[in-house]
Amino acid sequence: MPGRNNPKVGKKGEAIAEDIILTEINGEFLFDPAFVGSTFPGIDFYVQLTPSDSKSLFFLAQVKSTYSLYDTKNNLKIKCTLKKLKELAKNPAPTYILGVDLIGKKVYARFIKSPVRKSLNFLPTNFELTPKNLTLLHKEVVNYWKNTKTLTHKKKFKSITYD
Amino acid sequence: MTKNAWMLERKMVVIAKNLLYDANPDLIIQESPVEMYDLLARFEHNPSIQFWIEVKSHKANVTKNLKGYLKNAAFNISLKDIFAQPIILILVGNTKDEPAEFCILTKHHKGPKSSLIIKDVNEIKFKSADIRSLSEAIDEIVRWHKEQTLVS
Repeated sequence: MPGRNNPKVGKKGEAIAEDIILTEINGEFLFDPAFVGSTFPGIDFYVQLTPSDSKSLFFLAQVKSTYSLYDTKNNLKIKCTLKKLKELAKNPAPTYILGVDLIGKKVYARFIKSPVRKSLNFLPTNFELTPKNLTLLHKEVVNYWKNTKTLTHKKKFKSITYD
Repeated sequence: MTKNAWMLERKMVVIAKNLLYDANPDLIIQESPVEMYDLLARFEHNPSIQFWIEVKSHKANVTKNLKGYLKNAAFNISLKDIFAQPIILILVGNTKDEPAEFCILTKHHKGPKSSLIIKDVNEIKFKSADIRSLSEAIDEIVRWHKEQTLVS
């Protein structure tokens, strides 16, 4: 069985995560994932929200994959170091850990909330990326951006187009 | 092309990528650096062995689009030696529940044993893209590559 740090495991997990994120729901794709893992260490996907009313909102995702699967409490057995989690939590954009069950081809999501105090040794499985939860995730990301001042921030470098 | 149609194409490529990873976990699959194909597959420990993957909608099989693509591919492939490498053409549905099919295409008669000459558009038949068949096809491409190395 391939090891945890095997790049082949990572590639397969990323492909499964991309497939699940690209789930068509009621004839529409809610997310447009772009793999950025080879460009930005720590971030695997930049995921844009696709419907036009979403104003190019996005979230960031780090994928962790495992063949070891679940512990006795049904948590997915993945690991992420404290250092890495702190790096991820520095992002002002919504950032998620996506845990991938490589056998069952299931993906679980968890928001990375600052401050981070300990490393991650498992991922709860109560937020599997099913079509229903993908819809909830979309709403969550929209609400995240609505509750920040990013969209109404006053710019000093004003553009003619915007004035 | 509408945004949704473009997303559907992306979804099909991702489905094909997952089929290939299931068939052979040793593959490293990347987006194709050339416009003509969707993906490029290599092997981690032997990067000289590689093949291209083109993904088409299953629906293309029954339309003129596929023949058009194949004729165009036959013409373009003959232009550069780089395209002498085999191509796996995968036909997928828009969802993973629709069965996928594939064939190995080649530009010349010395391609892998079960490969089809891309110019013979009317003769091209597809196999089920189940894990076993795809795995065997990839093994065959690897063997073919090794034979080429021995010959040269």
